[in-house]
Amino acid sequence: MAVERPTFHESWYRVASLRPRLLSGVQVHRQHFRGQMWYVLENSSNNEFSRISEGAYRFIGMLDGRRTIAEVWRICNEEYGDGAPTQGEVIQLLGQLYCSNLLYAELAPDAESLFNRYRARIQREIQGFLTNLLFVRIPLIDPDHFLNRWVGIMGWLFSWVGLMLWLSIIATGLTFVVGNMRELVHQSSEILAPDNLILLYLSIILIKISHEFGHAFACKRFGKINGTGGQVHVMGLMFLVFVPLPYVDASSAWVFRTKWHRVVVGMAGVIVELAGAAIAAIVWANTSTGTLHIIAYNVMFVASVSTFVFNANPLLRFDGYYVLSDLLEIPNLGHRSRNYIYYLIRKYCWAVKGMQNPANSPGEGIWFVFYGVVSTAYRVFICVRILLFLNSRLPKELFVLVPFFAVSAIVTWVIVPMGRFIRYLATSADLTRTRGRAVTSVLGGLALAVVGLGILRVPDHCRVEGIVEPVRLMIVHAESDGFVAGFLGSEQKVTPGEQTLIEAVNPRLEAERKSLLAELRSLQIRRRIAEMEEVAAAQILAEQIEALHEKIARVDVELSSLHLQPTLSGTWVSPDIERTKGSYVRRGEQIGVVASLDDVRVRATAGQDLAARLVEQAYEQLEIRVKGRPDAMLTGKIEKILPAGQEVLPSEALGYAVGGSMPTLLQDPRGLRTAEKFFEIRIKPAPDSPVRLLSGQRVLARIQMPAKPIAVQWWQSLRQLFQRRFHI
Amino acid sequence: MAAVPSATWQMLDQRASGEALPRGLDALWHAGAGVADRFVPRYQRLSRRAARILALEKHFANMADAKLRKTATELREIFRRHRDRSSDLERAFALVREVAFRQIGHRPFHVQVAGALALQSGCIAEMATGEGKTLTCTMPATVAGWRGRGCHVITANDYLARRDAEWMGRIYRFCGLSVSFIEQQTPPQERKTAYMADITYCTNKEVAADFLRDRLVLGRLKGLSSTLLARIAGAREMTDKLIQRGLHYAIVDEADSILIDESVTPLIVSGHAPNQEQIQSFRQAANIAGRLQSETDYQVDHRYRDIELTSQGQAHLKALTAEIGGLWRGNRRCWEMVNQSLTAKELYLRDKHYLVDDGKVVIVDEFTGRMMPDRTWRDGLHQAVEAKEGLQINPPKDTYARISFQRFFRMYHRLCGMTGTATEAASEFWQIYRLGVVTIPTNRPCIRKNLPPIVLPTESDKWTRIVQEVHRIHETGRPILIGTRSVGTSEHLSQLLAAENLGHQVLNAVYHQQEAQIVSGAGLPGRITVATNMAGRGTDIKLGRGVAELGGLHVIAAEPNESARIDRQLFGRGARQGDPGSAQGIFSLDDEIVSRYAGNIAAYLKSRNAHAKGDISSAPVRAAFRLAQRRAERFALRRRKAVLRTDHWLDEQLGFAGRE
Repeated sequence: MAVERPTFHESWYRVASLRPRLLSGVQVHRQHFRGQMWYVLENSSNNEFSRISEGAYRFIGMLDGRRTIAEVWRICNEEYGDGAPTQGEVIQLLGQLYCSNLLYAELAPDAESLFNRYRARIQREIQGFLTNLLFVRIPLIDPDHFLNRWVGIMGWLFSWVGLMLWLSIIATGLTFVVGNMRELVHQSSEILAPDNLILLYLSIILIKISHEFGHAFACKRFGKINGTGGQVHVMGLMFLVFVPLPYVDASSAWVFRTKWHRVVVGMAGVIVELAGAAIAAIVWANTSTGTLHIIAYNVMFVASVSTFVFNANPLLRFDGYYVLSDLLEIPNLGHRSRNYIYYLIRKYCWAVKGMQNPANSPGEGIWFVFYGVVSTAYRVFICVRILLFLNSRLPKELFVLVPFFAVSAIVTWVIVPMGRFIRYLATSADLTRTRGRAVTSVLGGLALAVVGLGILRVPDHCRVEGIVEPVRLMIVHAESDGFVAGFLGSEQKVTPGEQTLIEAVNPRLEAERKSLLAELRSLQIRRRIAEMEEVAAAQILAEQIEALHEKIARVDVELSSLHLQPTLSGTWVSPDIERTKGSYVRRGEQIGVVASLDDVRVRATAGQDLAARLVEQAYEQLEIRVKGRPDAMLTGKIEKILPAGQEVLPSEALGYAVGGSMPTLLQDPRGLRTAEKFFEIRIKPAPDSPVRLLSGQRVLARIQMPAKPIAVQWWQSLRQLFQRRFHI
Repeated sequence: MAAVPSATWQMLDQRASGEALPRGLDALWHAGAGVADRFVPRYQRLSRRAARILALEKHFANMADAKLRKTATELREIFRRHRDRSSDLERAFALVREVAFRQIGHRPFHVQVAGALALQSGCIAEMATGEGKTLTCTMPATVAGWRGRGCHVITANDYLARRDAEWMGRIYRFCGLSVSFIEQQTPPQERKTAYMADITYCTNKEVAADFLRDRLVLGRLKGLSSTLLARIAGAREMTDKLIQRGLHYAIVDEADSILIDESVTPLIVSGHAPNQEQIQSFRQAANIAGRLQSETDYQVDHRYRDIELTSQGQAHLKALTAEIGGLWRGNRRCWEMVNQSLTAKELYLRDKHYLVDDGKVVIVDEFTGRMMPDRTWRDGLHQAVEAKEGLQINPPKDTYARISFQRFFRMYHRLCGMTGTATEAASEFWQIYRLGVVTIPTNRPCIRKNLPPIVLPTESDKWTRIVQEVHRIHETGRPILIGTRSVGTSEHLSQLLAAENLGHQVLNAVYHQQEAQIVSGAGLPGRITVATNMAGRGTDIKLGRGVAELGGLHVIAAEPNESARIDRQLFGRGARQGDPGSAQGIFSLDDEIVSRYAGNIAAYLKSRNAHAKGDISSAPVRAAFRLAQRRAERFALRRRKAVLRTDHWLDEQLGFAGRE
């Protein structure tokens, strides 16, 4: 039908002669949203709310239990013309009110349909529970009575005086934080230490309980001011990624007329948390050690970080979201932005006619598009992050849960919407006329995605960490004991046979040599005498002389090794050489290194997950970056990949313990033994590179591999993720 | 407490509406179960059981009448108390067979017994026309009558209700059951007694209308408990005004047309609500619509039967309505009225969609070609058509109660049906009514020759070809039946035949008084009959003397129908009961079904065969026709399901307004 809002409805006869009215307990609140008047109906018996437009309220307002629906409809038509609701709209409105238990008709309610509705609601709740296991809510207690008793005392916190107090607390806290910044940063590394986890969790509970009471009291207080009561009837536990946290239902704040009251109720939790963080900062700065100190630190950490990451973040469905939608005066922002985006697609991509625009003003439309896109992207991002976090942190026994959640997330966020979408495309009545176009455009989009992800090849690479080492290297050890008499200064070029690296004296050796020489002379004389007297004795003496010669030669060698000479040309490196002068060096003591610094190579390590790909596919040419110097980039090429797995790292710098990427065994004090075998890649940097690699530097090598479609690359990383986890 | 008759009690205790259609995965599962159900070899099982029943023939044939009556009484007691076992049912059917033979001279054949068993097991029995469906249903109807909660046998029209009730009544009465029938003119008091009979023959319209009237009597009393409370409170006479006694068991004849083709047609009980101002505005709207120009002011979308105003037209409309006040001030209502008038002007054609009969607009059912004098279009369309024709405008009526047959039949506790063509609609029977379909073979093998369809590129080629074919076959002396989809095309064909001096009869809405006479003569040698597809359905075409030797009746379908089922119905009018006969479709690529449901393909085929003059029928062309039909069927099923869903949704939303 070309008529957008047909006046008549074929089921009108069913309601025309009825005289319903709103239930007597229903309270009506007027609100403005972006310049338009809306009415919120509150059913105080079950704390449910319905928001209806001004036109709808004008109709409902006239139903007083004496006029029939048909009469009221006629009056509305005479009064408002085109603005009056059509019969179909009236039926829908009445149905909506009836289903929210806001309508009283003179008939006894249909008990069967009441029960059906109840059953459907329970079923929906269970479904919601099952499809959203990462965010489960369990209502427990009704805090209303408690709040009523204390609101007099606590409520004034949400006033101008309270604001002043709050600002001063925050300011004090901040000064302490700024004053102790160094320590603060230093201590942050301990926050996730295993022995702190219990205290951390306790602090979270403490903070979150005050957070929730912040909402509750704010709601009560403004409820009193507005005269709506601000009922808070539900408090319970919410399992946020399995961590039980308290929550409170302060939805009665929706009826407040001033949006600032609603905003403050939404912000109350964050306000309280920040105040808590400030107080904790004061406590922390004024204690030195002990449990109180640690708890204060934890509270400070939780109350600030969680507030900014979660609660104040409008992209997630926490406080920030409601505050934002109140500030923008767009209730139900998330849902409506999704609808609006669908609407845009239907209207402009598929040319569906007669669609009703979900945006009440152009301004809303812009917000819808912006919020819809950003929040969806963020939601996917946070979901993937949570899964990855669970993947790496869950104990092995519970690990089976990860694929379960991944599957449930995929089912609820991908498969079910996809199924609905396909069904919509295939069968929906809206698309009857433009189904061809809709299907073509969707297939086109899909084809683009397939080409982009599955066919277009995109360069693939992986990064490995390595350490720079000279190719040739001589470690100079003292070869015999002695006092250092002279040395060659460090960082000088040396060539074999030209310089002496170190000269030492050893008086004992020299004395020994002298004594041996004296003994030799004595023996030589005795032999000469013996040759004349007794030939046999001379023979023995000759042998003794021989032995003595050897002894002397040995001492000579020792003496000469006191003058150490380089065996290869390069740079003599011995930073502490100055200090050795006159000191006594023992044999075997390391004195310095002679290395050819112009000729270095990188020894990089790769885990098992990379090895196969590297051996088979890697291009020889690669890029090298020096850690800590993002600007320095040079090229290199793979010299060799050592095929056998090793367990001892070339340098401790590559191990986990000192910030490297290879996990090492905790038992190994030197941090060289790796947890699992790795493969070594020897990389030769290009000789003519502008940046000089220095021996001992840690570098990242970016190894290029044949270009592959993105989908293939993703699939590989996903497989690796699972392999690493399961060691398949 | 005041006593309530048990029949009323049962009626009030009945569920208010059928179950909601399943959704999501449930729906998938349910549809899957329906597909699996089709592979159950039901007929073999029923056939074996029918053989056992036939084996009892001798046992009952030897009984004297008095003994037979006594056995019937015994069986009645067993069934009434629901103490029956499987063997009791076999005995009961065998007994009815014997009674039928003694009372009306027909003993149901094996296939009829199998059909009766199919009905008894709650299925749709697909039995070719002329296979004795009337007799078949006596067996389950007798058993249902014995159970004592009433049994409605739903027939296609009043005539059949009366004929069958009188004809079969002898069987029932012999079995100790009372029989009655209801016609349009039956007065209310008689209706009440008619419904109290064990077996009631009636049309779907009458039974649904009586149901609605009862609902109106009950008003807002929704169920048993509230009615009993009202009685205690003193509203005594209320329940006495009720006519029916609950919807317990129904056997629907021509189940496909009643449960599917007509299923979303609502039955409405309405009353007058004169409103002079509105009548005036319909005339003004027609006047305005007359001044708007097609193409420049508005565009007509024939495929979707829709009118769209251009921006120029909007300006023009504003100018035209500026001086008239009243309801024309509002933009929406004004456009709505003009839209209706334009729809009446452009899309509702005299003699195709309606006739003017005695100063009144009478709707013509596009498919049966029947006049529907008691039907009106809704939302002011009817008035717009009246204004267009310059007739007296009858003000729109106020609806008092309304139900679609789909919803109505879903309320029956037990439902079964018979029809000549059901397999094509098996999934719909299953998904909406949870009825399986059992195909019962014919008693004597069918020797109809189904010739492959002839397809021509354009419509004019098609008509020439049809006339040629008629000529060719007419010369052999065989009678010919040509089925058209609408009254308009049948008139067109009639002119063509007259131009060729071919004497023929036309059977359509215009001549509906002579319907039975024309149909019964259609089998005479040399007869040419042009009929809308559904006209005269349910009446046999008996072959004249010597026709069988010539080859029997030749049926030509001049256009494909929305559903292969209806094509088959048309073809099924020839070669019945083992007679010879042949059937052929002569279609063109311009035919509405292909151009509407497979437009792109039809256009492509047309361009490929642009120069062809003769038959272009080939595998892809036939596939295109099948595809178009399948799409049309699917579309219709989806629409009917959507209607049911909307009804259910409304029920939920309007729970405060009492049940429908």
